[in-house]
Amino acid sequence: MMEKDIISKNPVMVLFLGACPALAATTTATASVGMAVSVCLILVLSSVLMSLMRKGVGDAIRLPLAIVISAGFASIAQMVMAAYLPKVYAMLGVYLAIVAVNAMVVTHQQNTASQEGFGASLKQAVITGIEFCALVIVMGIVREILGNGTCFGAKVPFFANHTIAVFGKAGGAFIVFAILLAVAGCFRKEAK
Amino acid sequence: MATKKATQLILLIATVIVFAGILVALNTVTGPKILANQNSAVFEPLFAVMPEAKGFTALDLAAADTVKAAWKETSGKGYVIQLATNKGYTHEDIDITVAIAADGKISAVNLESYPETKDFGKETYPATYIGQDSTLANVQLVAGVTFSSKAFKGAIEDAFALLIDNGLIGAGVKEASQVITEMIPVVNADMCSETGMLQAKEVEVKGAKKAWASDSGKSVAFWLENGGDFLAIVDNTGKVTAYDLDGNDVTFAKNPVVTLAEAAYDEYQSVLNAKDIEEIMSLIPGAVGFRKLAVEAPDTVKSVWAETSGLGYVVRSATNKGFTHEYINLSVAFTADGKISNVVLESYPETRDFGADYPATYIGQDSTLSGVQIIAGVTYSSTAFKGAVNDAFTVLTSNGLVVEAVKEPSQVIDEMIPEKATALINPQGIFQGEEIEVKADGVVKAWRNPAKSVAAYWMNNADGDFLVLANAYGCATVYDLKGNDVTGSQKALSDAALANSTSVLAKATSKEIAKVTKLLPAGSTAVEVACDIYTSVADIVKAETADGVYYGFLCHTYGFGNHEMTYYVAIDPNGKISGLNTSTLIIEAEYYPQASVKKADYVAALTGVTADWTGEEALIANATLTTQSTQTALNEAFAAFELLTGGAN
Repeated sequence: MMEKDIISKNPVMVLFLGACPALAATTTATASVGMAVSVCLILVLSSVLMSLMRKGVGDAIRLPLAIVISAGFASIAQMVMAAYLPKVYAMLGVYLAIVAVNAMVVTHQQNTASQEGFGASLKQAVITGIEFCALVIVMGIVREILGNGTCFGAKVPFFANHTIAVFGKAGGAFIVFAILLAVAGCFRKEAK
Repeated sequence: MATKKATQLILLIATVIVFAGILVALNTVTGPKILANQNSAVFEPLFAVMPEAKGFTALDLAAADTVKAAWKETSGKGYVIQLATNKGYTHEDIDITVAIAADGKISAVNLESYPETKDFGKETYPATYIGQDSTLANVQLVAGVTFSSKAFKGAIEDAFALLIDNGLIGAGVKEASQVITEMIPVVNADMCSETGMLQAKEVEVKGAKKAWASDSGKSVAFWLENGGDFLAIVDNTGKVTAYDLDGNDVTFAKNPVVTLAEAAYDEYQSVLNAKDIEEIMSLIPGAVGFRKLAVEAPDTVKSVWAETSGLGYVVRSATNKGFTHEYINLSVAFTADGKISNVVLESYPETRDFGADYPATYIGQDSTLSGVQIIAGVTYSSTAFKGAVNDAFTVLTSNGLVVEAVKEPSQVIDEMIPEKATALINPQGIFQGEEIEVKADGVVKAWRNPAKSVAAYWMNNADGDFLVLANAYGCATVYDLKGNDVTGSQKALSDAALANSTSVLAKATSKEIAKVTKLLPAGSTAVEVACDIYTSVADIVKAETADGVYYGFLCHTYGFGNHEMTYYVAIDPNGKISGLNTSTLIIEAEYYPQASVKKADYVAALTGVTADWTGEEALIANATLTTQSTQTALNEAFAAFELLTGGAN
């Protein structure tokens, strides 16, 4: 069931939330893991903090507060990654900073964390984070194998000599994403 | 309500302040680490070529354009130079990092990026530089990838030059053999390839340490020893030019080196002559022997031989006017009465085959070569071949050895059109005109260019045959078969041609004229000008301004696949291009994606050029035919400008 939910209820594939990092930062599997873990942590921590502050948050400041929180955690993630994982940081480039205004993170804070209790917010954030991670990591692995013939930097037999350059570029990201969307569509039909 | 709003605002501000505090605190921990990481990104490529290094300091030295950065290893192990050269085939940067040890030898080379179209051996070629000193004596260029390998070698030479010029390492000492082989293409253009490298075959000659013969057969180079090493170049008239190892010309009378060179040349000639005679003996059946003739000859003629019993002649030729610009070698045998009796194709480096039977079609032809065709699809190669055979006839007829045949008027006209009406040929000299039907007295045949700006008529009357050219602006010129302008005495012909041209030619459209006029100074009034030219210039406008008279030209030329290309050119009163526009600039990019140029940059580079330009500003890498189209359009616009202004500018 969980496996089907990762596909049929995946926020990126169903609502296209957070599609930007999923498309832009998945040229290699390593970059994908870096982005996935970063987004997951930012999502969870932002949701937890917003949930703890929810009683004092009114409609007027919910959105600016959500952005301040996600931007704060995104900046922390950037600084930590630049200091301790510089190679991954270089791969992610500007897309890590953009997580500050990631639709999935901000929407989750607004719609779930600001209204649910701590436990429920945490659980939902973790589930959403896992769903995002799954998609992003799958995309990264597929694009790196097809586009570069490697997986996490190690050469993959046959694919190493038969690379398709487009998968390392923006066009390839859309192709892989479209295929995964089609797969998600099948699972959603089954779930219904 | 107001209290709740104030509380929320305070909550928001407090959240901002808390996060700011966290980030400031975090920065004190991560800041130095981040800085160290950034520095290591800079140093990573340096340690990659010199892993044993302790550290690097930057060197601030004046250097060649190819040097991006120079570093000194802190414990004295040597230097690392980071280079970027765009002198390869694609003119994009080839990035290189080279480590040169303190003893002046290369210890490592990394090729960081390689945007070239052909691979010179990315894994293996840089490694051939390891262990080399500044002479790079044992480094070769890669055949077939000469531009890229030459760019690479040039960048490494710049790295050495930087260190040697600043006294950081000692210069390697070149062996005499290296000095000589590097000097030859510099002092002898006949042995210099397109990339500036030695292009000649090594031959053995008694009396010389080494000798090289050019592919054109026009010169020989000798490495001679006479109390030192010398280079002597001997051309095919026997003239000697001698150089010492410093490149000084030491060709003075009674110089023993000159005498040695002359002796070596005689020796070479006797061997060559014997070899030549052996090779051409079979060209004339029954030949007894041959003697070499010393005659004035066109460039493509290597040697001229007379059969000793009077059976005829043999001319040995080499032409590089084909598609690949490498030499096509051939030998042609002539009977004593001036007809071709045999043709042998000795080497054919072209990409397309014009057919094994093609040379045989020349047999029996006289000097008119009227029965010989150019092969469709192999035009450049067959035109080059025909040109070489034509030159062979020229050397015999101009020296009175055979009688020149009389060309039919049709052939004369066909050969005159490309010379007098370049509107009907492409920049490579291939005829592009279309035959048109003209029912008029005296008109034998007629053609016009695809742009319909120029028509050519073969007309005849009681005075003979004439070529009459007419353009869309009411100008006509009449030429006799000798190429003389006889318009004044053949007014009836010019009038007839003009009368017909109004129905077969078309003036420039108002849209085209507007595009030309737009390039002229704002506020000026442009008027069309008629001029008796028959080139790619299809229309001319002029505008009088306070600064002088500006001219605008509409030019139609031919690019890749002979697609029509249109240029709009404005020239100021000083003869400089003041405005330029084109349509369908890079057709070749449809076929060669790596050929690309930004139109705005291209136009900017050409703005300001004058008639004495070299044509270099029009160069587009990987798009030779488009480049030649631009050069033709601008050169013909300049020629028209000169005609209109009387050469005053």
